[in-house]
Amino acid sequence: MAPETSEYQEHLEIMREIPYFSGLDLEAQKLIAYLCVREKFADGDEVFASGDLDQSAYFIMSGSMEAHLNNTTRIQSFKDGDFVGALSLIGDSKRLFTLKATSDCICIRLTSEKFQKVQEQYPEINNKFLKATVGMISNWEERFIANYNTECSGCSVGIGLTLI
Amino acid sequence: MITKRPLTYWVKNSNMKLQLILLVVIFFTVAVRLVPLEMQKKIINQAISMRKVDLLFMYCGFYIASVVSASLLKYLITVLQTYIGQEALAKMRKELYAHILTLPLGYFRKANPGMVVSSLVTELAPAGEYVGQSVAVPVTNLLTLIAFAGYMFYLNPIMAGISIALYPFVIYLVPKLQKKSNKANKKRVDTTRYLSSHINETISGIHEIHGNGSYRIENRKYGAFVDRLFKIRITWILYKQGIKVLNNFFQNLGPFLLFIVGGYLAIQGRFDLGALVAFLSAYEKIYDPWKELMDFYQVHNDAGVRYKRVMEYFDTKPEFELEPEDRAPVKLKGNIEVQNLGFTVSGNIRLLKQINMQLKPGEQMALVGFSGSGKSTLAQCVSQLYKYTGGSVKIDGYEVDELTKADMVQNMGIVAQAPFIFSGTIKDNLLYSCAAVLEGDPDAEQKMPSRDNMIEAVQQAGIFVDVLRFGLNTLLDPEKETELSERLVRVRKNFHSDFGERLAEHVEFYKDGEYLDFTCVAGNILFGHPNDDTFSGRDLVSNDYFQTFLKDAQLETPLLSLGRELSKQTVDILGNLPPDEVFFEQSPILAEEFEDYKQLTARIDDTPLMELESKDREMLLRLALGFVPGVHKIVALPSVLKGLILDGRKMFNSKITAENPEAFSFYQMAEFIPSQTILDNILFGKPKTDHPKVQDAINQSMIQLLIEEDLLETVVELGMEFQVGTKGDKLSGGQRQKLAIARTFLKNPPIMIMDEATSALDNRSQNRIQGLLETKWKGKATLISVIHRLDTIKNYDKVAVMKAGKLMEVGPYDELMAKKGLLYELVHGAH
Repeated sequence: MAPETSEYQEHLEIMREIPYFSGLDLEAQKLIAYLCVREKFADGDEVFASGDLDQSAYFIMSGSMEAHLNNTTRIQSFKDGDFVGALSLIGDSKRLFTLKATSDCICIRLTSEKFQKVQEQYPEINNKFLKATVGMISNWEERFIANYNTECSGCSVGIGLTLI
Repeated sequence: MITKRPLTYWVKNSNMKLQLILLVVIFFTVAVRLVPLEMQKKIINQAISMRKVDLLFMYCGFYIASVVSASLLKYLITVLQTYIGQEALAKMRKELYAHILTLPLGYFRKANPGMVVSSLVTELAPAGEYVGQSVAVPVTNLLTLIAFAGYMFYLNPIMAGISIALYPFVIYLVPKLQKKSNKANKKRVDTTRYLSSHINETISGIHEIHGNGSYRIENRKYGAFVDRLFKIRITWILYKQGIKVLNNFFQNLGPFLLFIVGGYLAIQGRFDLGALVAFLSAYEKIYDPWKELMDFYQVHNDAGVRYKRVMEYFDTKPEFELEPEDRAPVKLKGNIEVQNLGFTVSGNIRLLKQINMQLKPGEQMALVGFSGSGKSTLAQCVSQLYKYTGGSVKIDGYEVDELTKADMVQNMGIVAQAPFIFSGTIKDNLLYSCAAVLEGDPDAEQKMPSRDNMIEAVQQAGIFVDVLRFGLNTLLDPEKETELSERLVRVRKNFHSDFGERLAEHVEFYKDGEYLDFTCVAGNILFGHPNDDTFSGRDLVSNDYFQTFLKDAQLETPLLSLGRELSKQTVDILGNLPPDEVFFEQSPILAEEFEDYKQLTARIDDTPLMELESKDREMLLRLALGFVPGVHKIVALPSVLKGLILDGRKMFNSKITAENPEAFSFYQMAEFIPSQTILDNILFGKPKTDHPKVQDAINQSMIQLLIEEDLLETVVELGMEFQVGTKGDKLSGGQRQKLAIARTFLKNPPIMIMDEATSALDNRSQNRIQGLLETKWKGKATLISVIHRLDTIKNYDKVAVMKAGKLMEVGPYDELMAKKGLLYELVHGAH
């Protein structure tokens, strides 16, 4: 009987490519892949709403999503291969945006509760995860600065995130 | 205070009645021990030398009787001393624990929990043993020594003098050797430690050794250590053995002296043969009490040292009296007055400075400020968790400092920042605060909150749906709950007509002819509930009928292979992790069986499936039969096997219907399934995901249907029996916080302290609880609420803003905002 690929194995492949997790030891990656759960969202479903304390990160395997501010202003779109919500794994802030599926989606969900259990077992994760996060934030602001339009008067309010 | 008591206190306060009985028993024992000596003398002198058989029988009879009763009495002494010792130990443990619980919170910030555990569990044990032995051992052995020596003097003073003369040498030499041996032993331990760390270093730097080819250098270094250890070990062993040899030598020297002096005297006719024999055995027996006394000395030292260390560790005074003497606990209304309050901790760090504020009964105050500003500390000083060091806190005119714990808990409810939930049921935890207040009250049972009160509190705190969910996830015993199970089948029908279609995507219904991904393999084959115990649960694999069936249906080998794959993968992922709830949620192997499967996996590594032993086969089959592909995602269920299992279901159904129709009830819409939870029974299937949104939809449908059948409270009550696990680890952080709020609401005290009580809750729950505080408790309970997020503080009577241990401003929200002071800055950001 030829073994078919299990969800766990698929998750493991994916984990090894997500920047936050790719630098971790194989044992930690295995455990994270094992603890992830598959979720389905139909077109129009809310994944989380602003004010929620759902404490989960999502990897989109197929489909697309959009983040909104106050349910109206579109902020950002996500597609398959994107990873959303890494910060909620380490902090306990409420969601500031609402995330909605804009087509039928299949995601992998990791809750912060599970992630913290993995951190307890493999403490070296903390540093690597934090470094990766800081890297992502810096990249984001660098890109923002590169595209920064000096004419736009209101834009300067949002700049300077990496100065925190 | 218990920690000031010396070890002898426990001896003096041990069970006196038993100690007295013990002394009497000891007295008899020692007397009886002398009888065999006297009998030996008589047997030789009177029976043997006079050739009188009747006397021989009589004396031997006395001899055996005294030996038997000496042994019985010795056993009785052991029983008594064990009882006395263990009783004292139990008392010590209880009193020390009671003392530890009252120690100030500050103490536990520094204390090491491991030390608390080991103190109570292991360190006190020798002290108990010592208390048990403290009378029995020295008295028995000293009396025995004196009696034997006295008897020897009575037989012949000169010979007695000679044989006892040897003992001073032993007393002098043995401790000397012991000291040397101890010294050598310490050296040995040190050297072994150096050796270990050296080996450790070499192994971690092995690449450097390979790179430099420095094998000889390293061998030389290591060799030097080993040689040193070699010498030290020889010295140590020689001393150790030397003590034994010395003891032995003196032991054997005795008879020599006795024979040479006693023999000479006997030949001269000044000493009879019987007395010589009695002397010899008395001399031999004198060694035992001697040795026991030496051992007792060891126990005494060991117990004394450990006892002292334990007591010193906990030698701190509690800050508050537990209960008031000569008065009942006060009843408070909640008028709080804080004046010039200061709190300074060691290192002269001032956590609170000159705080002044006032709350009338029923007023609500929000305490805000940056983290570290002292807002939690202020709440904790008011609630008597910390003993403030300056100024005063008065409630209804009583100084909090002078009130007892009982006064405070009668009138105050505290929701801590990280509330602690103890193992037990939801109900136990819900009633925890009420039960603590009612402890010792003869009418406690009537005063306990009713079921409706509890449900109300659960609703107010917003944990109702969670508890309902726990109730839905329980199993019913249909024989005891016939009526309930019938009504649940009715709920099932309503569910399918009202919600069936809407939730079809998220629920996997039991359908014949389809593979159920959220039901285990065994459930997929049997597709029914066994009425015969040999077919149920863990016994299924050992059932011969079922085993034969698996072979006939060609299922055995693929299932074994599946079992092996499951075992291998799970062990690979969870190999060295602790048995935490989170790790085993999605594991096909139960936490308690994990070790067995770990060993199995190592054992069967490359063994072909056909050659496995029957016990191992059963383990693998059991694992495969419990496999739920929808939950255990580590292995994929091959579609070929799914087909085989579906074929197997048909085969099994027709086979058992023909051969043993009583054994199974197959899943039917109109019948309750006892092996499934209430939820699965109502769904007649299993939910496919635990995503909150889907759970919400299912919960809403359940609430509606259960209300229609008037079963909602019944199921919630079942949910209250849910076991929350150690430290409540089966609950989420939010659930723990809600449960803590519910238990304070249930207590309904005139003063409430909430320390960031809603920090783990989402906006909706937080706003609902805030709303309740404003409508239900405003004017009824004085509330101090420490708040980190500022979106809920508008409707408080007062807002107090803290910064660096000082209270900067107090007043109604609007007033402070209009002032554009510190609160304004906090709300709008400092920029």
